[in-house]
Amino acid sequence: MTQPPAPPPPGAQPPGLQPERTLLAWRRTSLGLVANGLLLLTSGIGTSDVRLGLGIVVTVLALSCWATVSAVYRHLRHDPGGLGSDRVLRVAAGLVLLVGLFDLYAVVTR
Amino acid sequence: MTEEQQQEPDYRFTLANERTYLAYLRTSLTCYAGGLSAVQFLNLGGERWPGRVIGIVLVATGIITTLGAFRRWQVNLSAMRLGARLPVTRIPLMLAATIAVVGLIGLLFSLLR
Repeated sequence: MTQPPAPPPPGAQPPGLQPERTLLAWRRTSLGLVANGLLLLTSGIGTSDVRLGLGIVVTVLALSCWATVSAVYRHLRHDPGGLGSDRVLRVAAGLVLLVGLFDLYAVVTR
Repeated sequence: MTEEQQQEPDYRFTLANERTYLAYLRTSLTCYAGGLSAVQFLNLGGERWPGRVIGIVLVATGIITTLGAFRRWQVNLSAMRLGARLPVTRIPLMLAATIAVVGLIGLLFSLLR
């Protein structure tokens, strides 16, 4: 069985492509948020001011999330833990849950 | 096992756990998008309620997946720190069953309308 590599020293770039793949996973997730925001936005145009407002909120939040992912990653790129601090993951879950509740409202009132 | 006996897992496994969590979040977001699209675009001959039911089921499934994903990430991390086996999850089974049933119902409505 292959031995796991020793953890990289503090301040050093972790070996392998794992951090890059994780960053791409974050980017895809942000893109999913953007897609939901735009869908919510289009479902409100011409029919409901509330859904239109929610769509704008979600789209802006999703675009901020996209920008934040890149910025946070640049800041933490030398940390082997990458983006995945407990707080960041909690915020991501909260954001996705919020989008889900907005979408539920949009589906029920459509 | 005491807190002192817990060990921080290999960073590759921590990142893999994080990516799995993100994959679940993306699945949730896709369920939401599917639910909105069903209400918005599923043309069922003027009937609104089938699209709405499909939409509600899909969005509700997405919300359950979001909550389950975070719980799963925590449980996996805790198991890795303790050197225990990763626990079994029923989330993929729930997702597959819901999507299959909802997809079939949507197809039937579209064909029979």
